[in-house]
Amino acid sequence: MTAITPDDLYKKSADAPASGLLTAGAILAVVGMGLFAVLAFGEEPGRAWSAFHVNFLFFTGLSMGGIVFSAVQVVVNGKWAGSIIRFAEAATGFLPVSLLCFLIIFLGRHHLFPWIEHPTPARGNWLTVSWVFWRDLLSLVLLFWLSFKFVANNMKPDLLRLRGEVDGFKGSVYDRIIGDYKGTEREEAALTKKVQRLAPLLILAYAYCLSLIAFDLIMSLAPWWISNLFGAYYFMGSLLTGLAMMGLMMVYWRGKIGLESIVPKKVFHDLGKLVFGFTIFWTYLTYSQFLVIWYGNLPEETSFLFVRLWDEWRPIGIMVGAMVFLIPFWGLIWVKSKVNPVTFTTFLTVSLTGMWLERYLMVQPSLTEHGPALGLPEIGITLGFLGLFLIGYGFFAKTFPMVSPRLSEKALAHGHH
Amino acid sequence: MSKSPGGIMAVFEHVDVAADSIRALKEMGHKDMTVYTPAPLHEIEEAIGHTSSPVRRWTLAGGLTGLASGFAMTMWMSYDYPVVVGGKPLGSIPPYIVIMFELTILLGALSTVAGLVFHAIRNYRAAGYDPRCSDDLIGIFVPCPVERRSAVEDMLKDKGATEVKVEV
Repeated sequence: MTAITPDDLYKKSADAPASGLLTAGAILAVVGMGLFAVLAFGEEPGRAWSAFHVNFLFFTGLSMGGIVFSAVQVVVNGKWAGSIIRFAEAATGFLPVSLLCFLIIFLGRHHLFPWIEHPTPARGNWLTVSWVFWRDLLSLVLLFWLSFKFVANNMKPDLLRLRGEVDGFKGSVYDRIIGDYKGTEREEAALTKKVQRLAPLLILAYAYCLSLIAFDLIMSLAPWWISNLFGAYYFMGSLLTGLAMMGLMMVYWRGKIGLESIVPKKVFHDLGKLVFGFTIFWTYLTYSQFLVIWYGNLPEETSFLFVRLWDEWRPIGIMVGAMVFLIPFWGLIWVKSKVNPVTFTTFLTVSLTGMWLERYLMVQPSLTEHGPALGLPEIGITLGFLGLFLIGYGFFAKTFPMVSPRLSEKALAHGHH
Repeated sequence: MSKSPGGIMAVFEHVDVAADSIRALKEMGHKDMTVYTPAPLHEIEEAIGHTSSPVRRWTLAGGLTGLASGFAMTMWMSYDYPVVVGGKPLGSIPPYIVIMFELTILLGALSTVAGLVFHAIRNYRAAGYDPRCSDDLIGIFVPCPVERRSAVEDMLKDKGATEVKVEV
C-alpha cells in the first residue's frame, strides 16, 4: 500500500462524508422546531420565543465568529491555520437559516420586546418596531453578503483545482463560483488582493453589525439599561464561540476524513492557545464592565447586574463565570490538555455551553419575573437550533472542499511556523 | 563558569545530517548534549525533543509573589490609613483586583528576565563552542567519558560530520 499523500486528502475532502451531520441535523431540527411550534402556539409562548431568541443570538454569533476568524487570518497574513480554516468558514452554510430565524423573531415580537407595549420615552424613536426591524435586517444582509463574497473568493483557487473531482450539481455550483477565473499568475495575484480588501471590510462590518444586533436585540430587552461596551462584549464572545466550534469541528473532521498528517498536534496547540486567550479576553470585558458599574453605583445600571448575580439567577451567573472562565482557564493552560483531542474537546464543550448560558443570562432575566427555568422548552429548542446549524454546516461540507489545498500547502510549506 | 567536561565536538554543514546525528546519539544513550546552531532550526529542535525550560519556574514564582503583594499592599494601605472613598467599604476587592493583576504581570515579567539572566550566566562558558557555529555551521558537543569516545567519534564521522574533535 502506498502512503496517503496530501493530494489524496485534498481530493477526499472535496467529497467530505457529511451525511452523518445532515441526518443528525435533520432529526434534531424537526424535533426541536416542532417543539417550538407546539409551544409557541400552545401554552407557553413566552418561554418558547425567548429560547428561540437566545439561540438565534448564540448560533448567529458562533457562525459569524468562525467566518471572521478566517478574515482575521487573511489580514494578519497568518498561515498556521491553513489546513483547518474551512472548518470555520463552513459555518457560512448557517447564515441563510439565520436570516430566516431573524424574520421569524419579528413574528413573535410581542412576546419578546417589552418596549412595544411600554415605550421608553428616553429612547425616543430609536426603539420602534419598523426602525429596529429594517436597520437590523439591512445590517444582517450586508454582513452575510460580505461573508459569502469573502468565503467564495477565498475558495476560488481550491474549487478550480478540484473541479475535475466533482460533477453534476456540485460541478455547476463550482463553475458558478469559479466564473472566468483561470488561475493564471496575474489572476491569482488579483484575487489575493481582492480577498485582502474584503477581509478588513468583513471585520469592520462584523464589529458594527453585531454591535447593533446586541444593542437592539439584547440590550433593548431592558430598555432603561445602557452599556457602551455591550456590543463589543457580544461580538468578542461570539469570536470565542466561533473558535470553539472550529476546534470541535477540527477534531470531528480530522477523525472522519483521516487528516492526521495535515492537521498535526501543533495546530491543536495553537488553536488551544487562541481559545485560552479569548477566554481571558471575555473575562476582561466582563470585568471591566462590572467594575465601572460597581464604581458608579447608579441604580439604573446596578439593577441589571443585581438581577443576574444575586438571588434566583445567582446559580446561572456563577455557572457562566466558572464555565467560560475558570474551567477553560485551568483546563487549557497546559500544553498536554491542548494537544490531547479528548481533553481539548471537553474544555471547548464546557466553554461553548458556558457561552450559551451567558447568552441566556443576558436575555432571559429581562423577560421574566421568575428565576431560571431550564427545562424541555429551552433544551429542546436549543437542540433544534443545533440541528439547523448542522444542516447548514453539513450542506456546505457536502458541497465544498473541507480542506483548502492552497492554504494547507502554505501552512505545510511554512512548516512549523 | 563551570569547567567544561571532556567530550566530543562535531561540526556539521547540513541540518538534516545534524538532526540525524542527534537522534543517533540519543539512541546510543547520550541524552545530554549541547547543540549550537546559527539560527533557530525546527528540525534540530524536534530532534532534541521538547524539554521545558527552568525559566518558567521563575515566572510562576514571580507571578504568585506579585499577586500576593498586590493583595497585601492594597489591603494594608486601606486599613492602615482608612479613608472612605465613594461610600465603598474600606477593603473593596473589585478595584484591587486590577492592581493585583498588574503586579502579577509586572513581577512575573521581571522575574522571567532575572531567571533568563541567571541561567544564561551559569552556562556562560559553554563547552567546546566553535565560533563558526554563529556563522553557518552546526555544532554538537557530547560530554563523553574517555572509554566511549572512539565509538561516538566513529558514529559521528560516519553520519557525515565535517569535523570531529576531542575537547578536554
